[in-house]
Order: sequence, then structure tokens, then C-alpha cells
Amino acid sequence: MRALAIAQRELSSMFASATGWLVLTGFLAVAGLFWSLSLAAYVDYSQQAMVTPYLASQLDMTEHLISQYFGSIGILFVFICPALSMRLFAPEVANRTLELLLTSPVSTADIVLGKFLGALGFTATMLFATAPFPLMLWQWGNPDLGAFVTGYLGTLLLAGALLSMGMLASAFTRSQIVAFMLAIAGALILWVLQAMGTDSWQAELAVVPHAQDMWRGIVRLSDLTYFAAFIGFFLFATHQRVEAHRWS
Amino acid sequence: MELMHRFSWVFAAIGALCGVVFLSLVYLYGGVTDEARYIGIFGAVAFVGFALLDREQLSEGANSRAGQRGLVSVLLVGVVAFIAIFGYRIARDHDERWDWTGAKRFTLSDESTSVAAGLQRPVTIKAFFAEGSLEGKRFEELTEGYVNASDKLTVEMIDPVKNPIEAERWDIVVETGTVVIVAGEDEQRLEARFDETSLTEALIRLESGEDHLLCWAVGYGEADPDDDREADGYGFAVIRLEGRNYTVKKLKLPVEGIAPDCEALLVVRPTIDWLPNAREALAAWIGGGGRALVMLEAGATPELAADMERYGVLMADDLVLEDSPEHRQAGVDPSSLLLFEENFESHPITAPLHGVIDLSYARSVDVDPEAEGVMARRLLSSSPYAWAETNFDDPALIGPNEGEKQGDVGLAVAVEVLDPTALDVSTEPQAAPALEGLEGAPPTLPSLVAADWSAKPGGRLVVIGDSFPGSNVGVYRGNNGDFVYNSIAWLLDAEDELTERPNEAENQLLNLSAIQQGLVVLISMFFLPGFAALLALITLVRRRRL
Repeated sequence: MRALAIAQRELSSMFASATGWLVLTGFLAVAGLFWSLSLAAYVDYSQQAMVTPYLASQLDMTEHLISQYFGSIGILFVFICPALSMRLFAPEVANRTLELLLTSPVSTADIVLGKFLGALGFTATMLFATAPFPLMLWQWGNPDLGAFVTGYLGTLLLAGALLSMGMLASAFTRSQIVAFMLAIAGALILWVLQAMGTDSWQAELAVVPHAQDMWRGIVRLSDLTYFAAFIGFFLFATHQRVEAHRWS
Repeated sequence: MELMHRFSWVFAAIGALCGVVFLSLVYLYGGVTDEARYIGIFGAVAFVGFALLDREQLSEGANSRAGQRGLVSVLLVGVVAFIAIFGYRIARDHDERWDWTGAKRFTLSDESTSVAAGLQRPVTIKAFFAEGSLEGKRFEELTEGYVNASDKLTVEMIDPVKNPIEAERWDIVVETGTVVIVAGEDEQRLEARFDETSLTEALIRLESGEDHLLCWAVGYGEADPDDDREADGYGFAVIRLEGRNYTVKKLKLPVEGIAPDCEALLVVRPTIDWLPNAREALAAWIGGGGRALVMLEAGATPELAADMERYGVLMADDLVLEDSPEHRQAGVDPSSLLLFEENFESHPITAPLHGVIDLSYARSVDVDPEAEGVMARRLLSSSPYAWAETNFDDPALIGPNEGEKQGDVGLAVAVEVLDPTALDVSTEPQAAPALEGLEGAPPTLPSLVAADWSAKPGGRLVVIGDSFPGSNVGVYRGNNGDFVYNSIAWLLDAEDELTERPNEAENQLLNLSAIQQGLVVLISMFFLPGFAALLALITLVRRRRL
């Protein structure tokens, strides 16, 4: 419950300043641009398919529109999540407010979990603010609702993974810039690992392939476990790092 | 030694640099090359050197309280990492998959499951794909469902580069992937498409020794069964039929009549009206126990359409238009009809279908309640909001008018001939229709009916008031292809082929008007971000006031 209270405080602080809203504005503008371009390309493709039999047989809204759109949002999160996570611990260390927090009657686990949930809540708010996009498509076309549901789930889990990693980076330094750079380097490494073939251990470690099936409407136990293990590991590592401040 | 101690950080830097280069090489070459290995070892040695040079400081740190807690912390993190990896490995080895798509696009169709379950002998699928290729991974995923449905099916994923002997043995030349399906001495190959349809059809071909001969009537401007380029061609449908052990042969009806070895006659979208002797040949074929599928477009071949009456089928000179946007393609075109499950009448052809049938420029087809000697049943009906438009001259009159069929308009009919004499077949030569400008008696057309023709019950006929469902551009939409293939299967009494087939391309078209596209841009790029920006502004102003 204390973790939830901290999460609520984190989330409120995001929206209490104009910065949170501006981040949301920027995200919606770029996501909207991606959506408009993807939709225009798909409509064009559809019109060609009306008269070109081969295209008609290949046309697939889930693969060519929904999955692509969530892929674009995933790329955005590679940059947004480190920016959100960098401020979770680094400024507290720099301003020496972490000591205050650690002396308050909340456990380190509550602090770590609360800050993570707060950041994830903000990411979820950003993500679900794009809900009018699928609603528009639903009004005019025949999209697969299930693919949208799993697409949002996959993207949220991807964001969770990136935030947890960024949070660890933030706990290791007092500089937000360093935390941002560390987190973005980690995110990019996890992103490019997928290029090493689908069966290699590197690709299994990569974060995106575990979200890709969800962007297509498939949920796998292995992918859910991957995200749970990934997030769990980084939250635990962050917990250990923050705990170190108690006895250092 | 003092100097080395002072610059011990250089060893650490070299170690870190080597680590980065090592990772980069592994990324670039997709594995640990010799160079990467040497650099990695060098980096590790550099780190060991750093540890040895700074051992006193490190030891001091390790012996301190903080150092010991730190060590415990590192060990705990290591244990958690092990648990995380171990847990993931267990989940991966016992993976479960849930298909959340509305149309269950990643779940095997009933037909594929039934084909796999019905395998009579051991079948091995040898899939030659480069290790780690996306196409190979997708194919392996696809085969999971087949393997679960049959204990006679085994799948071998083979990398032709790593197993050149096996690749040569099976004559693998296509680099992008080849699938060889082997059962005893028989084999089938897939070299271009590796989807569910292709695999299921290959298994059907492998298991079924039975071939069906379909005769495609030509000579009156029919659709081209070889055309796989134009939207109205029938090449795609024919390719799929051939993938299921059907042979499609062109038949020059005006000169050859209907060959007795045909199992079914396909009459698809003739644009020139049939002459009387051809119409009698069709009647003799049906009356002699033959089977035929007739697809006639609105406004074409009025004589042939009128002649359907002898089979208990009424085809009017009309065009079915839809008033309800929900039953129109993209909600726009009234001549493009979307028929849902509630529009499918009860019949073995339509019973397995649960999707959408998409018709375009269809004419009405209905059952003649007064017909004798035949049992005709409606297959498809329009929505209650459609009507059969008969006025093509005055646009002002277009709309449901008195005398026009309104609501639940018939669009396809299936007929079984009980008493062939009711068809009133003539084996005599027929008089040609009189032509304008030609004086004298019209010439006589030779009979296309064999002199020893005899009536035989059991003839079957399916009449559809549109040819769009089987056309290249229409066959992949919803249940369109299934409807045509099921019609043919019903004609041939092939009950096991009456099913809903896998379809990789459901109705996926998205047509937006310019206004709708503008609205998308307005909402996505301006309205939503603008709303968030407004809230940012309000927050900023509020904070300044505080």
C-alpha cells in the first residue's frame, strides 16, 4: 500500500508540473504523426489492392498497420523511458533527499516499487492517450481488436522493462544526464541484439522480439515470463543499490 | 612497481575497451569469431592485471563493512539473475501460446486440423531454412498446431548451410527456404509460400490419390481461368483448386459440347449470350446427372439467365443494391454487398461458413416455387435493407420502388434434379436467333447433345448471381473462396471438403474518403497533442499563480 502511495505521489508530481504535460504533448504529436503516416500508407495500399489481385491476397491490417504502429511506439519508448527513469533516483541522491526518504517509515522495496509504478503509470497514461487511434480505425475499418489489446499490453511491458533498467542506472549515479546515457545505451544494446538471428541467445536477451508477437495478437507464456523476469531482476538490483545507501 | 600501481586504471580502461570491441565484433559477425575471442581474452587479462595491481585497495574495500555488504548484494543479484534466467528457460521450454486475434488468425483452421488428424501414414516435414531466419521461425510455429493434431506428423528443421549433404539429398536449391513433405515414396514441395493454406493443400495432395476434372466453359466471353494478373481473372481460384487435386480443363462449349469425362462444368461470367444449342447442351448435361456451377453477372446474357427457369431458378434483369452501410463494403458502395452469417441460408454449402461473403454488382437469383422435378434451395440472401433495382435509365428513380424485390433478396440457389424429364431437353438441332438486318429463315444450329443421351436423375446445379467471389480480387475476401470451393465440393458430393478453409487474408481493405483522412490527421496530430498542450499551459499558469 505504501508503494502505491509513493506511486501516486510520483504520478501526481509528473502532472503537477508542465513538464509532464509537455512530454505527453510531444509523445502524442510524434505518435499521431506515425499513426497518420501509417494509416495513409495503408489506405493507399488498400486502394491498390482493390485492383491488384496479388496485393489483395497480401493485405493484412494487423501486420501492415497495427503491428507497425506499435513498433514505432516501441522506438519512441527507447528514448522516452530513459528520460522518465533518469529522474527517479539520481536527483534524490544529488539533492541528498534520498537519505530523508530512507529514514522515513517506508521500506526500500516500497520506495523502489512505488517509483517504478509511478513511472509506469505515467507511461501507461501516455500510451492509453492514443486510444482514439484504434477507435477511429474501428469506426471506419475492420481492425482486429484483440491485436490492439495485446499490442498495448506488449508495448506497456516493453516500457516497463526499459523503465526498470533505467531506474537501476538512475540509482547508480547522482547525474541525471549520466543516468539517461546509461539507460539509453542499455536500451539500444537490447534493441540491436535482435539483429543477431531469431534463435541466438543474444536475440533471446533482446527485448523487442518478446513484444513483437504481442503486437500481432499473440501472447506467449515465454514472453510474459521474460518481461516478468527482466523487470523483477532490475527492480531487485535497484533495491540492492538503494539499500546500499543505508550502510554506505 | 609504483608507476604501474599509479597507472593501474589504464589496465581497467584497456579491459573495458576490449570488452566493448568484443561485444561489437560479436554483434557484427553474429557470433564469437577468433578475433573476438582473442580480444576478449586480452581484455580479461587486463582486468585481472588491474585487480592484481590494485589488490590491496580492493582487499581493503572487501574487508570493510560496506565491502562485505556489497559482496553479499552482488551475490544476491547474481542469484536473482540466475532464477530469472532459469524461470525464463522453463517457460520457453514449455511455452504456451494464446491467439487473441478476433479471427483466430494464428490458430489452425478446422480444415487444417482435420487434414492433419486424418493422416493415414507417417509424414515427415523437412523444413530447410537458414538457422534463425524469421520465415523458418514462423513456419516452425505454424507446424506446432499440425503436430499437436496428429501423432503421425514429425517436423525436422534443417539448415541447408550446416547440413549440405541433407540439402543435396533433397535437391534444395532455393536459398530463401524449401519445405519437403515426405510420406513413404511420395513427396510434395513448398518453395514460395509457407503459409497454412499451402501446407494444408500439400498434405491433401500427398494423402489423396483422387483427382477431380473440372471443365471450364469457354467460347462465350467467360472469365479467364489462367489470368492471375487482372482483378476479374480467375487464376488465383484455379491455382487453389489445383492445389487440392482438382484439374481444370478448358472446354470449347460451342464446338465440343460437354465432354462426358467432366465431373463438373464451370460457367463463369459469360459476356456473350449462349446460343440455344449450348443452352440445350447444359440442360442435357444437368438432366443426364451432370453437375454445373453457373455464375452470371448483372445485365449479361439475358437468354441464358432466363433459361435458368427450367431448373427452378429465377434470375431477373436487375442489380441488387444495399441501403444499409453496415452491409456495404467500406460503408460506401451500395452495389458492394456484405453478407454475414445471418444471410447464409441453411445448406451443406453454407453450413461451415461463419465469416463474410462479399458480392459486387450482383443480380437477384431466387427459387421458383412452382418449378417441378427439381428441388431448389436458396443459399444466400441480402440484408433486409437491400433491393433489386430494375431501373437503369433514370437516376432519379433509383431506390426501392413498387414492383422491385425489397429485403432478403435471393442471391444464389442450389438445385438438385429429381425428375430430369421436367427439364424438357431437346436433342434436335436448334434454330439460331434471328439477327437484325438478315432476311430469310435463321440458320440451324447443330445439336451439342449426344444422340444417345438419356435422362438420369441426380443432376446438381449451383447458380450465383455474381462472379466476384471467385475472382482474383474477391477470392481472398472473407468466406468468398470458401463459398465457391464448397459449391464445387457439393456438386461433386465431396462432403469432406465442405469446410471453412484457412485464409491468411481476411477482409482487410480500408477505404477512407478525403474527409475521413483529414479527420485522422486533425485528431491524431493536432487535436490530441493540442489538448495535452492546453493542459500543460493551464498547469503552468496555475503554478505561477501559487
